[in-house]
Amino acid sequence: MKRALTQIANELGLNMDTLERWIRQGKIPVNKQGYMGIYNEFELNRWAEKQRKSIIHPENIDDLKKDCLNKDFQNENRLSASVLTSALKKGGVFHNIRGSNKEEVLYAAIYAIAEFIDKDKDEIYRQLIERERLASTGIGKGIAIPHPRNPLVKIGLTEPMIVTCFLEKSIDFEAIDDKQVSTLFLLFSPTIELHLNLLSRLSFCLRDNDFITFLNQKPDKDLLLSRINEIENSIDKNI
Amino acid sequence: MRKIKKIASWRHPGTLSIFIMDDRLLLICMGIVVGLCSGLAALALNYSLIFIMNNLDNFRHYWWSFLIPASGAMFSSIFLKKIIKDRGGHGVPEVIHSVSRYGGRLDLSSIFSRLVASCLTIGSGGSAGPEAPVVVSGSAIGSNIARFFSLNERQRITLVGCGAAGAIASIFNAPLTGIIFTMEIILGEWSMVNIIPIAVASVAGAEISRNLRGNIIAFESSINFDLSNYHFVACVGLALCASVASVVFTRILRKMHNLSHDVPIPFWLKASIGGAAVGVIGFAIPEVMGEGYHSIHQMIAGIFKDGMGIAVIGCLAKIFATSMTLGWGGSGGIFAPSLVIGSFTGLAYHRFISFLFPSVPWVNEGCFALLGMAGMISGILQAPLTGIFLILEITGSYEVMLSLIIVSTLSTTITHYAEPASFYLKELTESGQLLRPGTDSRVLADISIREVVETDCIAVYPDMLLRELIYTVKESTRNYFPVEDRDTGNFVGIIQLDHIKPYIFNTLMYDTVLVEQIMDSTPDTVSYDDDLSEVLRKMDMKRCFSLPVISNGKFAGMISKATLLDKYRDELNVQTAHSF
Repeated sequence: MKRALTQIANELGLNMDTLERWIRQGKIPVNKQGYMGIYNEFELNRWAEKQRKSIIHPENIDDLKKDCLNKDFQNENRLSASVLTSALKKGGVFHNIRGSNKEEVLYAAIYAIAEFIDKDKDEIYRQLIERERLASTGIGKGIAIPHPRNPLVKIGLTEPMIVTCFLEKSIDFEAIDDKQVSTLFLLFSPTIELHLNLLSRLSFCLRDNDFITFLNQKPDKDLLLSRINEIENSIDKNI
Repeated sequence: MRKIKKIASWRHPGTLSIFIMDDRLLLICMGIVVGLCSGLAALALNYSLIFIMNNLDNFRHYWWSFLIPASGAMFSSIFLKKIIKDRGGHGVPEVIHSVSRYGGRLDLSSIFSRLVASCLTIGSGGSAGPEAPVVVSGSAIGSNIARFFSLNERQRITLVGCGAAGAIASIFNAPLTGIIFTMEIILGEWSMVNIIPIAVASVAGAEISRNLRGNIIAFESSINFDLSNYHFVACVGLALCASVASVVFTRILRKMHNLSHDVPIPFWLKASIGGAAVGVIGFAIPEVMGEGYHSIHQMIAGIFKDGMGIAVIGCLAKIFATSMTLGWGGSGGIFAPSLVIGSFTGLAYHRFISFLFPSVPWVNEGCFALLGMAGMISGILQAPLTGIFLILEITGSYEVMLSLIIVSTLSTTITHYAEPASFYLKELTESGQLLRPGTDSRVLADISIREVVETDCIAVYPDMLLRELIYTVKESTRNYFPVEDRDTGNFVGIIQLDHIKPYIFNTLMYDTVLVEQIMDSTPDTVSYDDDLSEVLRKMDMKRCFSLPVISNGKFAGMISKATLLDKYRDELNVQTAHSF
């Protein structure tokens, strides 16, 4: 077979200089003719096997690259384009969630969500409580972000969602600053990656004290979404 | 057109499809040719030596005859240095060097230059051996045949070995020695791919010698040596003597070399001084003249002049004469002189123990001369197998095999304490040029920095803010960021992620710190031409895992231990795999 040396080097994962030196020293069953390498495919494969070098066929290399690119591209798409806003939109906003303690509030919140079927709701509730037992998700300033420890793939969640719940009255959530909690963001996502991304974006919003005061006014869904969208756009711009 | 193609493939047999798959057949065929040619070269030197010696014999009794070796050495040095412009040296070390460093590349002129030069030196009476010159000549024949047929380096090295084997096999009529000498000394590795063509070449060399000269054993002894048990004890003492002799010989030869180097006179004058000295010694002890085969004959036959003193003096005189010849600029090898010194040593030892224990029925002194030769060769070349097989084949005395093995191996071991590197390899080892296949230094020497450099680093500029740097960090897959001057593109420093960790978590500093404030502006760097072993030493000293590679003041990439390990393993695998 006759192929360009650069191509052979690529296939074997070798540096071009190394390939040329090996040919000169006779350590590889390839003969050089100008820029081309002449070899017997069977022999070269056997050699590569002996040297524990895998031969990747050129078509495969392109595929591999394309795959990687595609994945990255999709990820980028999913992550960059106002992922927080769409998650909040999907989750919805609920007002006047009742309950006098953590458990009651979480139970009520989950049952308010129309997305989940009843059978899953108990499971989700269990996971949320389990996570709360590890450490409270109350991040201070009257906000808590309850979420399950593991991604919710089992129940068929494909898109991330954040459910916003404004409580009827503030409750003790064992938050880090010991303040009473009045707003919950229930965070559900299909992958850890998305979870972290949403969490970082959400915490970025919550660092802003104006936004906290805005939340304390218990705005409705449209108002909340437009405000979040504003902040998220500024994040995207900075990146 | 088809005709042209045919001619092209005739010149490039390596590209023929049957030889791409497996070049063993090709190497065997080439080995025969190389063996025949180098055998012929060896015979040519042998015949011309005999011719010159016979003609000059008539003048030996004149008072001015010491000028003969003087002028011989002078012409030989002028021929080598002025006409051929050879670098000089003993010959065999140059072949080993070329095999280990340049894939066995040898000049075309080496085919005859050493032959002519050594012929002048030895023929005129200088004390040196013709073996090293024929080895050089044979190796050069192999190397140039390989080049003519555009063979690759691995094949060329094999053919160089074939040449050396053919030459040794032909000059001593000793095919086994040819193989073993080549494997043990020239190539330094035993592999099936090499051994078959070399064996074939050795046979070819021996065969041509037998056809033209007759099947003669060089130093055949007519006496049958019968060794009883106590001789083995005596062998231990002989091994000791032989190793002392080889250490003394090695050291005096090197001393002479350095001494002559420091004397500020023209090289041809030095050579003639050396030659004249040998000529003067030759008046008193004629055995030191020439390659000394004749005296070996006498000693092995047990008909050498009586007296212990004569043997000791002969031994010392030969050492001195050889050092004068080779150290001061004559041309030739140390093989034959070692044989002579060895047999003198054996003789002296035998006469000494016979004097101490006169009642013990010792074997004929020829046997000890023979064992002494083996001890000397094994000691000075650090090659026990070569010693054993050479003596077996050139004397045909297979009955002394056991003592031969004892003397050879013991002598090698004892000499090793005083002189860890053999005579041939000493200079190469000292200059770090001895690179046997599959060793660490060889692997490192073969990989060039260009092959391991990683160029996927993202450059930053000195006037960048820490914030911008952090965006770069986010995009990069590496932990090192070269800092380049914005205008000239020159390398001004490097940022290592580990070193800036204290700053990157402090958001306050994002807009207040510049890259040039946190970069390492005096990092250790390497260039493309550096030796990899040197680079690794640098890394070890600084305890770092990566170093920037700088070329013409610009950043070229990073070299890291991790990538190096990868390439190192590949290289080691490839080097130690003996066939495809």
